[in-house]
Amino acid sequence: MTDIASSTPENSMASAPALTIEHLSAGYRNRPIIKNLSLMPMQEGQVVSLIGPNAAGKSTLLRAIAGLLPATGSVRLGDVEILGLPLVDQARHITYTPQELPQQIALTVLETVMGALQVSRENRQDVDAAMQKAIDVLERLGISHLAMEQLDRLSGGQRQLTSLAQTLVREPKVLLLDEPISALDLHYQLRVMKEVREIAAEKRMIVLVVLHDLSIAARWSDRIVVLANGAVVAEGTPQQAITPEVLSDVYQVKARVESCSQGSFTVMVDDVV
Amino acid sequence: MLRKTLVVSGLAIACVLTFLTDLVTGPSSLSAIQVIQELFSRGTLSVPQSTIVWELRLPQAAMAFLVGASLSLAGAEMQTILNNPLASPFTLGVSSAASFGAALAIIMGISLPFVSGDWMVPLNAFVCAFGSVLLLEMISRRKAAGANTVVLFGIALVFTFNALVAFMQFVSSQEALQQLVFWSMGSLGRSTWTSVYALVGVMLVTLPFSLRSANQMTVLRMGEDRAHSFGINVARLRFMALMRISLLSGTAVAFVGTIGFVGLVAPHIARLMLGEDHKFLLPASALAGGLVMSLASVLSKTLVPGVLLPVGIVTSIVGVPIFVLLIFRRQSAI
Repeated sequence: MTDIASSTPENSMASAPALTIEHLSAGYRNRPIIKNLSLMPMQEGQVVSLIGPNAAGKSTLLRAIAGLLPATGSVRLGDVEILGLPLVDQARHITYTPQELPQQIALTVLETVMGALQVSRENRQDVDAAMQKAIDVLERLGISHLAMEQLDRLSGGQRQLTSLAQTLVREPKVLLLDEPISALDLHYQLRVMKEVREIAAEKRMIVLVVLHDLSIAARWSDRIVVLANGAVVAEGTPQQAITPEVLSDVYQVKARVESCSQGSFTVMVDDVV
Repeated sequence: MLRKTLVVSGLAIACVLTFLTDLVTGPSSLSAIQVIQELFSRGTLSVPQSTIVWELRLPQAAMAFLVGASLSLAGAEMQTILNNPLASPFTLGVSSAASFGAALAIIMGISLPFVSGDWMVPLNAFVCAFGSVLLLEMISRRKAAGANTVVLFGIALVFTFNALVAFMQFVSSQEALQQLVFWSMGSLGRSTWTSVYALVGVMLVTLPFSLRSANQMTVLRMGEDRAHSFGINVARLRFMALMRISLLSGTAVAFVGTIGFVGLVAPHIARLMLGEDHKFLLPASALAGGLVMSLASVLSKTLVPGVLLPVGIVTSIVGVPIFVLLIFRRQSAI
């Protein structure tokens, strides 16, 4: 167990591995984007939202953690240093989900989700088990009726749900979601956030999710990280991280943060600064 | 799942039937029954007729199927790993490189040392085709190169080799020119048992590896980041596939010349029928390619009575209607 994880006060399960990111730098050739970034350790079962303006480095951060970009620094899961692990081992711990699936693929939803399981050697043999798992996930996300539909006949939102199902079915230890609800209607936005939270708690996953809707981020996350220009601007509970000052700083908007009549945390934007 | 298995089996049966039809058609006056009897017990026919069956019909029919299957399998893998529906051995310069190799041998008489006359053309064609895929490989291994870079580079190869061939044609003698033009039209007339064995060998070596990486290829279709994130070493997958492609297409074009259409369209035919689960798509592509080429071979013997057309020409005439039909059927289904 890492010192950091066991020293966090809220850590009720002393043996649970935390995700620790320290001094992470990443980017593209001649264009560093994330510079020496450290985050508070993320505990099992937690959902952490990453918010920030366009080009803040949110996707770059996720991709760097997933090992898709050359990065320096440290990404640890418990005692295991993830950065620089061979791809196959890394994939066992961490899965990155891009925003969308490509459009022109002649695969059914079920094949797409099963493919994510069967690509790993240990799952290759058992087709029935893979199918059952895939169907379970589709049911949880409310798209089991689409199982036999071809991907290229789905709407953008339906494809996004399929993409999420494909990742969830792998049950990674760390789940990195890049704007998983950007194309979804109200019902599915809520449904996805709710399911992701429940699955994270059930399977003891650590979820780091990029979101644009601040009210949704505030309502469904344990913790918020505000990113701008590749650096952390604010980090903490929704109330701590999302304040009018931070929003004005980061998004250049005049905003109010209020409790609605039902008591939930709501961000209202009045004007640009 | 069941439906897909049935479709693949259907394709296989169609291949067998077309192969048999290919065997029993030809300019000599042998009946279908005679040919089939001869196949089951060698020597029932007279010596010249027996020779026609065993040394011409059988290797040519086998070659038609094998060339179609190899080019189509190569095309299917290429389209997936380069994420481009227009990728094929023909469109990315492999066939052009083979023509260039053939032209070097036919016009300039240039070949590898210690190679005798008959082998100069196929060997040159193979070496150049293989070399062109190695070039594509080198490009694809560069860190920053995405699939598009490779495709653009392949197109550059097409133009380069075509220009070089045109230049050689310009300076060549009448006779050599004729020989080269005939070579580049693609013909099964040069098939021998040696070429059949060579292609069977290449198929036996590559197909198991293709099928083993089928699941990974399916996931690669969903994007490189996703594939990486699921633990697939995309660079390695791409490199191994290009190695297979170079063997398959290099060997195929070396023996029969340029046959452009199969490697591009047969994988699409398979995809339209079965979708992109590569466990089914890869074998079905090979079968569809073999089927199209066998059909083309039959037609090349029967289309103009008494004339044996170059199969490369006929391939397009057979393939295009099938392809267009499938596209329209699919659009009306949507």
